[in-house]
Amino acid sequence: MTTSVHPHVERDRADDPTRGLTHDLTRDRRDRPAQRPGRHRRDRVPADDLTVVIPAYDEAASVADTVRSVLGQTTPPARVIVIDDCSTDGTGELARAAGAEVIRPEQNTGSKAGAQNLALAQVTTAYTMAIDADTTLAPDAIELLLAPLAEDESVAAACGFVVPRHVSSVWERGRYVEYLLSFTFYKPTQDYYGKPLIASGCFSAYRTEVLREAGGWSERTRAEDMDLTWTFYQRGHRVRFVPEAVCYPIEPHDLDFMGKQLKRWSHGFVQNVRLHWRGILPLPFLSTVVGVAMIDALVASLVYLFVLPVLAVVVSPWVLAAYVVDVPAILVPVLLAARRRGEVGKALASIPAFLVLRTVNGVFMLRALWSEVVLRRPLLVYEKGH
Amino acid sequence: MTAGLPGTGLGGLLYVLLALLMPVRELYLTARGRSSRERWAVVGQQALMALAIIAALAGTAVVVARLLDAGGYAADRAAPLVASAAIGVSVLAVLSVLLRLWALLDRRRAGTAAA
Repeated sequence: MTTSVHPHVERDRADDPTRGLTHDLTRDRRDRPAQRPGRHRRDRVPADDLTVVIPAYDEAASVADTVRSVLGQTTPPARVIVIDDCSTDGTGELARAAGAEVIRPEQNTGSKAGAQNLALAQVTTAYTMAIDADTTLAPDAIELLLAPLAEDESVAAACGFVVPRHVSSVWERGRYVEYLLSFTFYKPTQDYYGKPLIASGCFSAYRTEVLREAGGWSERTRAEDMDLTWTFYQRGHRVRFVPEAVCYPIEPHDLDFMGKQLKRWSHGFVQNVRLHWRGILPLPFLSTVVGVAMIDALVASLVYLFVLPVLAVVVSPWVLAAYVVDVPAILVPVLLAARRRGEVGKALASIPAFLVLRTVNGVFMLRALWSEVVLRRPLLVYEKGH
Repeated sequence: MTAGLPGTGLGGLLYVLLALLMPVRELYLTARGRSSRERWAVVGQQALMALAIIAALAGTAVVVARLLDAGGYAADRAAPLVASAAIGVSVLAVLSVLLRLWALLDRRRAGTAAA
């Protein structure tokens, strides 16, 4: 497998830690003027230089909500393009009725990236935003997400805070805690050091020119958003995380859907590590974080699925306490984020689901490593699972 | 830990260390006039979170130790487990350094070959 990314890195420009970190990342959501009814109501200022791209395949249940949440922004975009990837449930009609332009290819493109690239060819604005068809936005999300791109030309992409729209089933609850933990502690730390690990595909904004130069969304891995983020870094561009810009995707509600998503994510991560590892070595922070994540994922899978059960039998059942021993530490960022959102009870009730989900994550990671690294059998089919 | 990927806490510890380093780095940047109140707000929040995580881990360790004592779980049985965990973490650390060195050497070889 080869990579088309450039090895040349404009590190002086890209690694300046003070560039662009000027907006207040810690501002409490409750302090935002737009969210105080009756106070400081902002006028709707169109984001004339922005096109929103929404790939959709059989998303009739959610696509209209997504389009309406985009058009109802404090800064509505110039264009909203829905790529109806040969849906069979009327997705295109519903999107058009909600106010979007709809593109429908003659045959299914086979992947989210393929659908997005179809729309990218028609974008004429300076900025392009990718939003999943099952994702809605907070009313000021686009305005906030565009700020770092407008402030700093070295910023190629910006991503926001992700919160599951529905938190009901075990899988949604587990993912809810994962997101609170990741977007409250890990991602701001990555952003401070100038390298958010991934600009999530469900809600990210890009500088169109840079996106085109990178070849758009690549179909060579099953995690096109991670691939694009790491490609940007290798080309000397910056990516920012904007915690105040919040989006609400629908997360997998059952194990079937969750399995499809985890399969794609785990294979995508391994594929990206194999594809980019040489290219990211000159980037110390990114290569260290990726290396540790890979080792941690492997060790965690083996420990949760094999070592702890065996030790519990051989040594003592008390060993099983290791499954929950880090809960107090996890609760620190999770409860901090939950308190800001007024959801402490929901977060506490979701912790057991998180413990289940991370063990299930281990199953999919081991299968991905076995398939991709040992059998050399890469996952090539994009299977939708939210 | 990244959403969707399993983690034991090794990755989490890396981020705790990185968050604890943030004030030091920001002091350096402040001395060179490259900081701001907004940056310090981020640094303060992340560093405080890291300290709270360490406090939570320490509290958990104390509780676990007391439970083991109360349960009559002799220290000589617990010690090998703790030692194994420490050795495991050390081996992983060395492994990651070796992997990184190997990768750097491989890259240098590739660069030499290309030249």
